[in-house]
Amino acid sequence: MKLWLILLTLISFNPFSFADEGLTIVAVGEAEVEKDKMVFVPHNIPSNANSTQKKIINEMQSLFQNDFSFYKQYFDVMKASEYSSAAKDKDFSQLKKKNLRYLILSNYELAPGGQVTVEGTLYDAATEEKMTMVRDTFSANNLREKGHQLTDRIFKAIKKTDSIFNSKIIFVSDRNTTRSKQVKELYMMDFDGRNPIQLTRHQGTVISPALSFDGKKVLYSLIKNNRNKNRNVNLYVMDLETRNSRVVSSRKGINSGAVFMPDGEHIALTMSHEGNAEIYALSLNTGKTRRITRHFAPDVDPSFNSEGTRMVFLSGRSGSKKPMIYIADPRAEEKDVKRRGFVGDYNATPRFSPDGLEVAFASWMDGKFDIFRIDQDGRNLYRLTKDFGSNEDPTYSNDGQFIAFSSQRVLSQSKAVQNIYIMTREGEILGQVTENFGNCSTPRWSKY
Amino acid sequence: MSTLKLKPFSFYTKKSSAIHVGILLVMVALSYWQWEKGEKQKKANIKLVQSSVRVDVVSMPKLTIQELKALQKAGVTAKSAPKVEPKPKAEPKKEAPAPATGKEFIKENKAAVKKPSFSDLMKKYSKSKVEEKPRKKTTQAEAEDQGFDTKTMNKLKGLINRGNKVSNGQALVGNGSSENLTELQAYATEVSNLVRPFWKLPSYLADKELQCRIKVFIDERGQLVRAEIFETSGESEYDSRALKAVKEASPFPAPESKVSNRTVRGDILLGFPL
Repeated sequence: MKLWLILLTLISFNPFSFADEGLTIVAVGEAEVEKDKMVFVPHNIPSNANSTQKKIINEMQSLFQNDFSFYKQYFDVMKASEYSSAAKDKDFSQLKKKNLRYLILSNYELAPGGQVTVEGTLYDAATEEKMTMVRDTFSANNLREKGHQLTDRIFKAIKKTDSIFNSKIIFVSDRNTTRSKQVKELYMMDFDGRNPIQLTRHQGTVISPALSFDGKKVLYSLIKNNRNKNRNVNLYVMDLETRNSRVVSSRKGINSGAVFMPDGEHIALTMSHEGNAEIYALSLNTGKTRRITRHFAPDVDPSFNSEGTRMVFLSGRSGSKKPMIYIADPRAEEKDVKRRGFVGDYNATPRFSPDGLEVAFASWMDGKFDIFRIDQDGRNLYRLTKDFGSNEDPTYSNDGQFIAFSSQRVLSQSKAVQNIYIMTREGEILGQVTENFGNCSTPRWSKY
Repeated sequence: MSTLKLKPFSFYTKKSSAIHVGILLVMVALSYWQWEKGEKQKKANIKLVQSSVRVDVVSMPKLTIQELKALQKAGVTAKSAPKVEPKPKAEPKKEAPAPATGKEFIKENKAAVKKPSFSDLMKKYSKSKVEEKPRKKTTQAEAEDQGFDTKTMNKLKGLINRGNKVSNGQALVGNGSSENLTELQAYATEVSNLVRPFWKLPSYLADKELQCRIKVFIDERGQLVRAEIFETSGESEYDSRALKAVKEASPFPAPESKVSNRTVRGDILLGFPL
């Protein structure tokens, strides 16, 4: 009897007896999100346009396409010719069949003074809805600036966030160097490498520039070219509207690696006038300093998230002589200092993403620098660049999706060229943005 | 009756002190012996720990994200080739039986090392900070070089084997633990793994949090006989995308004869996403 009972319970608890009945359900999981196909179709091009107007129209059309093709992770920008007839008729069922998601129809009208008025309408082919309409008048001079504003508005209508289209990059170039004199000056360009403008004319060597979070001021250190005995590296600040610069700090020793703090009034920099390299906050208005780090090991290279609540920096305090990545709360001295990096023979230039969740940095590996990325909590260390030149000075875009960096490629034994490149935060290289502009280095992406 | 004749007092003192000294000597000898044994054990333990545990600082990753992605894709296509053994791999099970000699153990260890799965590779590269690695066990000869005698070796064998156990992983997918599933569940999981790479949605559908379930009918050769919507998402485009994924993933590996009567009856439901 007992035996029977035991057998009975055994049988009833056997999972196979249940599984024999009915269905087995297994989860496939979340789908991979496909990129949205988008196309820019010129609806009508006025036939009586003069040559400059024709040029404006062509350039507008390519600017639209070029801007959106930076966001490879979201969009597939298609050729207009495939879709133009269906697009002009607004035949959405036909467009849907071709898997098109976004249609931007542009209308061009001629305006007095060689100007052109552009009207772009964005449609969602999936819902057949008109999402937004943008309109502006361009001349040959303001075409790119205003054009990026239009594409930014279209982007915002789709993604509800800011794009990089209005952002700028500052960088240092040696293009004015002559045989007898090395000159490195500061320049500023659109994110896509167009419209480079020279900012400084010191005839000296500008190093480690920084851009304020609102984009109105620039910091840089300058090594003057005179053969003076007590050459010091001084720190300057420039107002971008007036282009006037003034010395901020000329203390003995290092005055470099300065960056703006998000409040716009303070900057953080490394100074060694007290003997050991430490990070200080300095008020641009009053000149007062406040220590952020206090340790017998050197602390350098601060970078902030856009709220100003976190600072990432390099420190030798691990004791291994290799600079490691640390994170601290910059609002007080030595507050919440936490080690985040544990590897790397020589780490350099840690840079926070604007949201403060990631840190991009360069690290010495196999005889050159490459760019790596790590989460702010120390997890997920990824390598981003490899195999082409020495890659340094990463800087996040204003939306945190892209990283610009400088890459030095050796052409021959005596010749190397350094240029600025852009990649996604996943390490997909989108391309070189400076070309034939001397050796370009230390890019800093605007954060507005 | 004769009275007990007392011996002189000095006789007793001498005898007693001799006995006490004797006891003391024995105690000293014993405790020294114990102490020496303990020291030996301590040394052996330190050697054991040194030889079996190594703390490594993980170096900078060599592969870039793009390369890892390419690897992952390659892994998927290799997997979707229709030659899949239905039996779960026995590797995780090998932990239990203690090998007779050290040599055998090493052979197994090498076999396991020979083909690291992709998930292991990913784990290795994505791991941050510090990890502890059980080092491969030394052979008997090597061990004796390091000062182990056979006796200690045998004693410690169990301990070392315990260190080589496969621990509970953190990965959501993996090649272990499939023996807990029924054969049909194992096969269904395999099918869902093959469908996953084809499961894609445009962004406007991905945001909507829809769900559908598809009943699949698979014959004994692994051919997809039919796939039908069992639970609709209410959005025809979503349903057809899910169906498309199943069709693109077929043919599947042939199910084992035990379960083929059920796969052909349509007992497998695929949930998109759950």
